Amino acid sequence: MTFLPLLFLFFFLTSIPFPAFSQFNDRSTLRNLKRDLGDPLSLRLWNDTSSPCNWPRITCTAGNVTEINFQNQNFTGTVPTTICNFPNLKSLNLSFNYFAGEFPTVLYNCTKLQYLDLSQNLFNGSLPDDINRLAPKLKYLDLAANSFAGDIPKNIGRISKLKVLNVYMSEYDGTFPSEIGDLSELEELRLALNDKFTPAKLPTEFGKLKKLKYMWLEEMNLIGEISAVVFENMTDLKHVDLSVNNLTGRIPDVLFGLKNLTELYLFANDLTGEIPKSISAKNLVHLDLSANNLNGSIPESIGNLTNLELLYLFVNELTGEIPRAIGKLPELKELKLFTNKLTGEIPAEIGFISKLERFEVSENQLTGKLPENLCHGGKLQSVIVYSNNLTGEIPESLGDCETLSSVLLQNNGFSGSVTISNNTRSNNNFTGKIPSFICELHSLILLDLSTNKFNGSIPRCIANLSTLEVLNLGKNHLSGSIPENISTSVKSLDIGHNQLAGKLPRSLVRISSLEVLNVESNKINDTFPFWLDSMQQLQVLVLRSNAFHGSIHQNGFSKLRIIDISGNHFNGTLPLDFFVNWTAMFSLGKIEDQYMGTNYMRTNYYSDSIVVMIKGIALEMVRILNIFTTIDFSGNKFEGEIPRSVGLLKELHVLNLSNNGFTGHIPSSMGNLIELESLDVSQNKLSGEIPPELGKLSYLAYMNFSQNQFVGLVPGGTQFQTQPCSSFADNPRLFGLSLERVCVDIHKKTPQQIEMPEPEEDEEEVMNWTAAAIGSIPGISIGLTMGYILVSYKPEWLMNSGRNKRRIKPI
Amino acid sequence: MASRNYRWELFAASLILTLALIHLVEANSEGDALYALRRSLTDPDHVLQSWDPTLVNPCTWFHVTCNQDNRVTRVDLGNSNLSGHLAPELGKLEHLQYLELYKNNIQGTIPSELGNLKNLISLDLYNNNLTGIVPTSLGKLKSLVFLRLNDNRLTGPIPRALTAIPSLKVVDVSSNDLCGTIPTNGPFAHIPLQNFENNPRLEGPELLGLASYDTNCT
Repeated sequence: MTFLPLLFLFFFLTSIPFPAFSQFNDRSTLRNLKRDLGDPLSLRLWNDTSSPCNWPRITCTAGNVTEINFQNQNFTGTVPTTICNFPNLKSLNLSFNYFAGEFPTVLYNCTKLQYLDLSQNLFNGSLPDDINRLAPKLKYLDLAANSFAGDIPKNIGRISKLKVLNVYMSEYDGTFPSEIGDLSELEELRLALNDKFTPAKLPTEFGKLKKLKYMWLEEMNLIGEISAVVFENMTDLKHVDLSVNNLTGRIPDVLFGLKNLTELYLFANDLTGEIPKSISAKNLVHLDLSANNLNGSIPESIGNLTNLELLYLFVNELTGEIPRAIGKLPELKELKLFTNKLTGEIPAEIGFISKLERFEVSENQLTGKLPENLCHGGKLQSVIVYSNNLTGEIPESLGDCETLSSVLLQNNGFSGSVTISNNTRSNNNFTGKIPSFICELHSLILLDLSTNKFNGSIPRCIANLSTLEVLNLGKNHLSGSIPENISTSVKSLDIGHNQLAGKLPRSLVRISSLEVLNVESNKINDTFPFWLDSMQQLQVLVLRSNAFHGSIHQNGFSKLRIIDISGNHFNGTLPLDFFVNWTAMFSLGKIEDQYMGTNYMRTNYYSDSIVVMIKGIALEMVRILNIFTTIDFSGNKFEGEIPRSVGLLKELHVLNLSNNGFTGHIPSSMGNLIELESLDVSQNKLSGEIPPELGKLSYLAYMNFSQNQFVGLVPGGTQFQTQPCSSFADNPRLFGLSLERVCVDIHKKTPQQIEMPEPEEDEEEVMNWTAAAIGSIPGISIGLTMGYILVSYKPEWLMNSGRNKRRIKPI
Repeated sequence: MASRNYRWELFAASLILTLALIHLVEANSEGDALYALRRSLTDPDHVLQSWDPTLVNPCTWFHVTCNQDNRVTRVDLGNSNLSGHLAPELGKLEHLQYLELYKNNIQGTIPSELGNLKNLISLDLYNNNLTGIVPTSLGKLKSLVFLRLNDNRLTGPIPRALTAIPSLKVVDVSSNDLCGTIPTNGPFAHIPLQNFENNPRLEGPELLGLASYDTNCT
């Protein structure tokens, strides 16, 4: 057996032709090859007049064709059989084309190949079991990014000279062989992005790959623990990527003992336990252990990794403090520790030594101040520290940070200071204001200081932030008036839940890009801002709970989808054609793209959020769906009829007109609101019948007609039948077709049983509802009247302006 | 193919996805159950497009209603041109009161897990393409008022366990392929016969003690 290769060698040596003869031969072979490829335009220079060795995409050695490079030529079809008619061909690159069909076994005839690249094509089917019939000297085999399926054959382990094996990103739905471990010369192995592989452990046989430098095994359905045995002898490893698998158990110490390791990616697995304390992999540049279930503290020894540029430990269960030594890492660029359970203070040194670019520690339990020198290196782009317990002033030095584009400080206890830092950490009686140096951040795009304790007025110099797109100062204790001249680049302005007074500045009209304006829960005393209707982009307008007053005429908010003007003093009647210009709610179209993030207002770091009254409760939308629509006019003094034009709003999901003085009938055009899920017209003076057309609205999950003067029959239909009786209460002349079929009172034990209010529940209110129930049986119609006294409770939000707020944790 | 992307894009995409999934697992078990329904349904009109499992709960999804505690109480998807199957995971929505999936084209069987919905008031699956039996487990739905399964292709007998649901007011199983006899005791005493009609193998109201309720079923 051992002399068989020698025999082959002998054969090849004797068959080497003379160069001249070979060149002549190659010329006709190349012409045949060109013909087989369909005479592509890109090979038009392959003509008879020049020597084939001067033709493009051909490389010759000693007059023989030794390399063919067809990368990215848009070639289609199958690989031509003529491709191996060059006896000295060593390198063949067919990558980035549209070659299709099964693995081209015709390449078995290219017996001298050392380099073969078939990646980024449309090959499909299973790899052949005898794939080891490829050239015996093959060193480089790239089959990546095709549609190969099935198993990777065992015999791939017999292409014994391989240094590089790339089979990533295909459709393999079988197994990969442990025989890959037999490739003792292998330096680079890329099996990644094959998530249809049968779940398998990392084979211990891979531990035999002692020359391996690069291991990319991301997202290939690996299970079980990371076996320490595999890595014990792989001392050459520089790059290890086992991310996005289902690996469990602890991170073996041996991984952190690989002295040549520069990149270690273990993110998005189910790894548990602590991060190994001893780290001798001193050359690490990238360390990403994020999105696991790691616990314990961050090892102090990470501070010894003097080359570390990127440290991602986010979304784990890590506890304890951030080691001080991390602040002394000289090369650190990105520190992302968010969503853990870290406590204590942020090391003051962070940012002072290295050129920090990203500092993201949000969603922990960190206390104390922000470090003074985060931007000392002059490269800082993001300070993402929301949802901690940070207090004190925002460091003055951030004011000089020209590169900063994202500052998210919301949900902390920052108080701010207008004076130069006085080194007091305590949050004493000092009247904290939003520090005016914020205005020096000329690159700022996102500024979110919401849910803190800032008071005082909004700095007038905020007008200097000319690139600002998001300004969220909501949920603080800000007072004074709203500043003029907010940057015209702003798209989202949220100053809700403060104590701002005065009028809406008319200068807002110049912000033509404004999409979201939320001034809810302030003391703004103004008339309705008709003048905003020139804003072509305005989609969300929230004026809730202020002192707005006066009447509202027809207006032209063509993009408006969300309007909440509830809890003000608006009055007057709404003209019949009130809604005719609100075309965004006529038809929004359907979003075809289902990719995450694209369906919401704004992405990356910041999503607009809003609290809406829907289905009787206040619901926080932490992200606003681009197709969500609501109209909330409740809690005002509107009179007259509900405009018939409401029927145009076919995409409307929520309509709340409750607690006003509306009279007349509900327009039957409301039956057109096919998307409507929540309809509240309670506490008005509406009369007439509830339009039977509403019975056809199959998404109407919540409705409230109570406390009006409706008469006649409640509409039929399944949705009406599945409502609690309280939805219709306090309409003395409203009747049901058959009481128990019209509303479900889940407290009611049997029909005709009179329930008395439970004395201990003060907030419940007894309502009288006399309803006639007409049981209908085909051919016979029996009318019988039953008197009920029903116990019903009015939700608290109907009774007063202090509404039940529900919070959804932001993610 | 020249335009295929490379490592970093995938890195970011898979990371976002993974983070999303983590949230799904940690905090959104009801959303998880509903998302299983979404996956088992075909939704040509995109009525489920707002069903994003990365949100902390499903309360802001269209056609889903929650109570004050962010627990799902209603699913309103009648008339939505849905096909595909029901997901057994629906049985995990322990606060669900109204399951309105009527007038669609849903196939397959009624998951017996729906019997775990102990707060369910209304089970409206009428006008679909459901096959298989009416699960006996539905007898565990002690709050049920509406049970409308009419206009499907259900087979087998009417489970006698249903007669032990005192709250049951409306039962309609007409236009199926049920067999056996029509129960007459308990809440069934007041159900009009028309709500059983058009089941060729279903025999008239049973006379207690005379025949087994599932005659004609083999």
